[in-house]
Amino acid sequence: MTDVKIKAKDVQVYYGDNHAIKDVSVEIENNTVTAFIGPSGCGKSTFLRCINRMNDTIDVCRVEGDILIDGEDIYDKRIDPVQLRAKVGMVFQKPNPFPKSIYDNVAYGPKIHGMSRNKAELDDIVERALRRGAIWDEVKDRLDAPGTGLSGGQQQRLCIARAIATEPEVLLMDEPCSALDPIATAQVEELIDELRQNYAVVIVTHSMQQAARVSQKTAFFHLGNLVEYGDTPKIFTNPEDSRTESYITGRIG
Amino acid sequence: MIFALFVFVPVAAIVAFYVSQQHANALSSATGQRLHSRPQHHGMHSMLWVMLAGWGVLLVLTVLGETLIHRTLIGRVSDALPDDGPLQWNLVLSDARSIAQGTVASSTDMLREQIASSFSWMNATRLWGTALATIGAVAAVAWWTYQQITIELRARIYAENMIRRGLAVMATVAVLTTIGIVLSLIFETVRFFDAIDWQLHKFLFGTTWSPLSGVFEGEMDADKVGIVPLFAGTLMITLIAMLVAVPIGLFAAIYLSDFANQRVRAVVKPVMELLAGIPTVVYGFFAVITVAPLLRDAGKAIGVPIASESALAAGMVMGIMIIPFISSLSDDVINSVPQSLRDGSLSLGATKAETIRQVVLPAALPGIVSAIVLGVSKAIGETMIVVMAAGQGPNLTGNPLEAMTTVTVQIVALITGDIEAKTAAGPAFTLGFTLFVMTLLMNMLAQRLVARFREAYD
Amino acid sequence: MADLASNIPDAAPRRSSLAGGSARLRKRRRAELRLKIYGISAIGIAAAALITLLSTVVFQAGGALFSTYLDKEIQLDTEFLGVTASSDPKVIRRADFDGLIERGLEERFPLATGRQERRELHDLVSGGANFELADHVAANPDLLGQSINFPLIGSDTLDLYKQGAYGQLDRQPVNGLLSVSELEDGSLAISTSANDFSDALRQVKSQLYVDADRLRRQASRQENAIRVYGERAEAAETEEERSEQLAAQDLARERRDALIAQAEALEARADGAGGAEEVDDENVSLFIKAGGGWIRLTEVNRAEASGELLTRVTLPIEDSEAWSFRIMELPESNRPFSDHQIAWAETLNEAGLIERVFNTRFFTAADSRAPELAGIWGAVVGSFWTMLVTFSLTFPVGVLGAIYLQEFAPRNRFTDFIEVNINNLAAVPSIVFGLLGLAVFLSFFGMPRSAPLVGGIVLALMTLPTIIIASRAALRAVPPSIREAALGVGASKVQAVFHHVLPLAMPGILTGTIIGMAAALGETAPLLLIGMVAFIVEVPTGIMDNATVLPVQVFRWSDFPERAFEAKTAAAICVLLTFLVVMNLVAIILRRKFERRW
Repeated sequence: MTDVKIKAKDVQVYYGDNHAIKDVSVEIENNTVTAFIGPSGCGKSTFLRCINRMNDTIDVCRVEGDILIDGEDIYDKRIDPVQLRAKVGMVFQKPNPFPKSIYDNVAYGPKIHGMSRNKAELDDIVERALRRGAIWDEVKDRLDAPGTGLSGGQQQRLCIARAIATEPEVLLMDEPCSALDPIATAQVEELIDELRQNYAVVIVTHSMQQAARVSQKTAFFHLGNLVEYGDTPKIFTNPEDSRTESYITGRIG
Repeated sequence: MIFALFVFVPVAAIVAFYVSQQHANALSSATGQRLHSRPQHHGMHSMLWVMLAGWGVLLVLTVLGETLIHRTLIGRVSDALPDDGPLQWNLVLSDARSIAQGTVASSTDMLREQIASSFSWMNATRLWGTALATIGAVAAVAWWTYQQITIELRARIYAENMIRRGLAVMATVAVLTTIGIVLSLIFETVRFFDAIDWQLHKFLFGTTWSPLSGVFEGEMDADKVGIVPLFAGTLMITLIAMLVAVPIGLFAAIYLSDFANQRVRAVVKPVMELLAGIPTVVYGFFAVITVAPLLRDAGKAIGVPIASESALAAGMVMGIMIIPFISSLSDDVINSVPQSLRDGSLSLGATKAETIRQVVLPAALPGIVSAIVLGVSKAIGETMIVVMAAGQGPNLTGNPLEAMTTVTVQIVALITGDIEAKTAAGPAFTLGFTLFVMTLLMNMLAQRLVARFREAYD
Repeated sequence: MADLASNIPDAAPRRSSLAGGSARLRKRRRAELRLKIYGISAIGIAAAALITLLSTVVFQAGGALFSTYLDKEIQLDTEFLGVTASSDPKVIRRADFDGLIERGLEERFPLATGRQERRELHDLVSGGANFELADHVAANPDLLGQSINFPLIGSDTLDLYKQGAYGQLDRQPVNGLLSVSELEDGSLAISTSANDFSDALRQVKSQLYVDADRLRRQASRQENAIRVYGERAEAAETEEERSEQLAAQDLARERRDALIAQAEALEARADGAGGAEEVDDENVSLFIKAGGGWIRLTEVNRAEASGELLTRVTLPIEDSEAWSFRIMELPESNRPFSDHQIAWAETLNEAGLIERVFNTRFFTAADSRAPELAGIWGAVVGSFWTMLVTFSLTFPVGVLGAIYLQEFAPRNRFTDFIEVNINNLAAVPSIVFGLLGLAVFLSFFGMPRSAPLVGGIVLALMTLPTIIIASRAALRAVPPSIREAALGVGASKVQAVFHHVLPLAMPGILTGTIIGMAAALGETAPLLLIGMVAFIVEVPTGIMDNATVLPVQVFRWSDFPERAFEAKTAAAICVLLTFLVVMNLVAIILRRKFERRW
């Protein structure tokens, strides 16, 4: 059964005069971890940021083509990016907890979206998110401590919990482990695998091992083009395109 | 003459440079040995010594000579005119100088002629003495360094050490300035407090400011040196200024950093810089010519009397002056809140406004508070706007529509007033000291806050 | 994959629609819009303030662009002056040219005989005109005995009148024929054949309402007094006191009634269409020009009036068509330019003897108490000398100090202290530097007051932190690789810094220096304290001369009571701002041109 969550068609992205994404078409499935891999500067992060319109915050960035989530064009004029981003959560390369308490970090999203009617409900949401973020046990006794005081891996899981708290349907992760040590990376990878059960997860990674470990689908980007997209085992064992093969085997990158 | 000597020193130094360089060169080729330092380092070594000696002697002799002549002649004038004050003595002396230099003096008499002739020969002696000493010092030092030149002389190291020390001396000028400020302020402040028998509570909490009312009896009345009215005026005007500057400056900074596109920023930033570059005396003129009459007319229209020198007009214009200050400092800190925090908030579906209010501003708060504190410190120390647009009379009132005076206005009024400098200096320098301490504390607070902000995000 | 998902109860694919915002979202969007509007209005207010400020200054400065000259023929009467062409130029210069000019004016307007009128007549010409004439004649003694055309600079009030600063002399339409005859007491009986004066009469009468209003306000104060006396009478404890209060109340009542009656009488007079009204100096001024001269009305009715001569008029006039009637709205008592002066000025103007020319004097002269003679050049030169001193002290000291702190200083307590010190010094109010200058350079070292030397030193100390901070930033921006490269080829540290780092940092240092110098150029407060407010009429020739600077000049002029100084102040500000804008432009260009991204 294929359940397409995100469908991109002929997407072009320009940074000023620079054509950063060329003709990318891809279908991303629900309850799947999809990995975007490719050499740095290939456009994988740029494309990821298109999916929740984070590129809107950059003045010179222009997006063409269609990106549909559940059949709705997210670049339609009637779509409010604010609402879109509540549905499509994002986790960044560097953990970026707000300079607030752990509790407030997680409660921030639900609060602005008005997801709770009272403190008890909010407490509930926060606890659930922290549990799903697999960090509850570590922080349950110090929810009032500042989020910036946690270790790198904990911070990143806090950021994941923060993203989950708004109950998104898609979770975008932009190299979520690149700033973490191997142990924290393992914890986060484990978490990603669990998250797959509830979300469509898209992860950008520069590590092919990571892509192989956590993803079911893999897309290989090169110089702004989507070179190859398919089941992860196939991409890594039997790529169709020679460029993919060169990258996998370490000849470009 | 002094100027000629001043120019002579570097010329002599350049000559010394070439002579020493040549000498070192010749020495090297004559002995066939390699010099420890390059010939130009030998030249540099001589040059630096010559400049140091020449300018040093010149400076010391000029200052000493002037002071000595001044003291001696003033002493003679004061002996001749024991009944007059220093103001009169100085006048006589400046007349005598004019006579000696052949320009027009305000009046001439026997005494002035005598002093003039003394001044003539003293001044001539001083000038010739200075010239001889300077030239002598230059020649001696040049000869000494020339003698020193050998193959082994570590001229480069010596010269570079001199340069380093010279640089270090330059770096301490700022410290010397601070010391000068503190010493000169404290000296007069202590004298002033002596005059009121150290009744500090009367100074700090007294409500009447009229320090010169008893000067003709030669007494400083401790009951009339209360700075409360001045503080009330200063704080009222500062408050009004901040009420104008903080919201406008802050909102402008928020808009510029998070909403405006490149084009708007390219236009607005220079406008703000222009506002910041306008001299305060121009703001004062603006307050007097435009804002005060406007307020008065507006007041008349709604039946509220507004004084033509109201705290409101001065405060509003001062606020306009401080807008760019607040906005550029806040803009800096808001911009240095990392983009990743904004991204984190936006990616959760927060609007820009929510991101700014709940993430960016709390993060930037120490920096913004520090900008406000610096703004307050600037408002308290601002002089020209209040001198021109606020009142002179120490009026203790809570009504911003009336004229109020400030600490800075009183300093200017005391020093530029008709009262003899020695008497007015006490209260004026004491006010200056108060002002200095207040702004210093605020600045230190602001720096601490900024440091905290920078630690978190840099 | 599908069966994995089915194990988890809440794993059913969720699909929420994005279309159609909720009420909550709309509210959040509105909050965002509000913040945006606040931001735009804040910027708008700041920009509006700047525009108002600049336009006020430029608009006001317009008045200083031109000056008014009286181009009257002057007979250089050797007998009157008591000098001849062979006299010593110094003697010529001291001759009574003032008297000569005044005599010329009095000959032109022989009716001006009283002391007051003669003074007003003399006041048409600036007090500085005679010196210029004297200088001119002293330089060309051959002119003595001849009749020459020499433009005499007009006074500030004449200039303001010509600018229309007191309002216009409005010409009224007239239909009737004018007759004027002189009565025995010297006053004039005037009449027209139509009701040509009725508009003017109405204007004159409007003053009556103002007077009546004033009386009514006084009456209401009496009303208040009546109430107070009544209350006091009630509260009185003794009968004696009570009657005293009642008596006072009655008195107040009487006063009130009298005032109201007067006010009513005035209003009745004002309401009436006719009735002769006196025209005093607190009312509008009415002029008739006829018979080759000017008449002022002292009493006016619709068709008749009384008047007096301002200049010579051929009398009597009978049923003449050739006349005009003019109104000056600003009352004579509210302007420093009297009705007589208006008549004289208009007469001279019609004779083509008054001209307005570009005010070059403003850019070449030094200060003066007389606005029409005052110029900015003295202050510009004073500023130049002061800035020269400031620059030659603060630039080397600041840059070299910055080099030490940035490149050589060891990290220890003392250098930390210097750093903190510099940062704090940058925030010390400028007026404190004035006190420093006063105490150290004037009192202790006995340097001359009002001299650019002291002003320059004080400003140099004030600018020093700015330059050090800017220079350090510029040095810091030079990447360490440059230093390492130089050290790597065997340069000493001093050589690396002076040969490689400093030249690369120079544009940044210069930019910071220019901005610091611009701030110093606009600084006023500390200079007030070291005596640079003195009134200086000579252009300074060196750093030891008495001098003033541009911003202080602005401050002084803004403090003068003469209205003509307003325009001069604004013009001085324009000059100051021009210098500042040029300096800032240079800084911006430097920054743009040498901006380097490493």
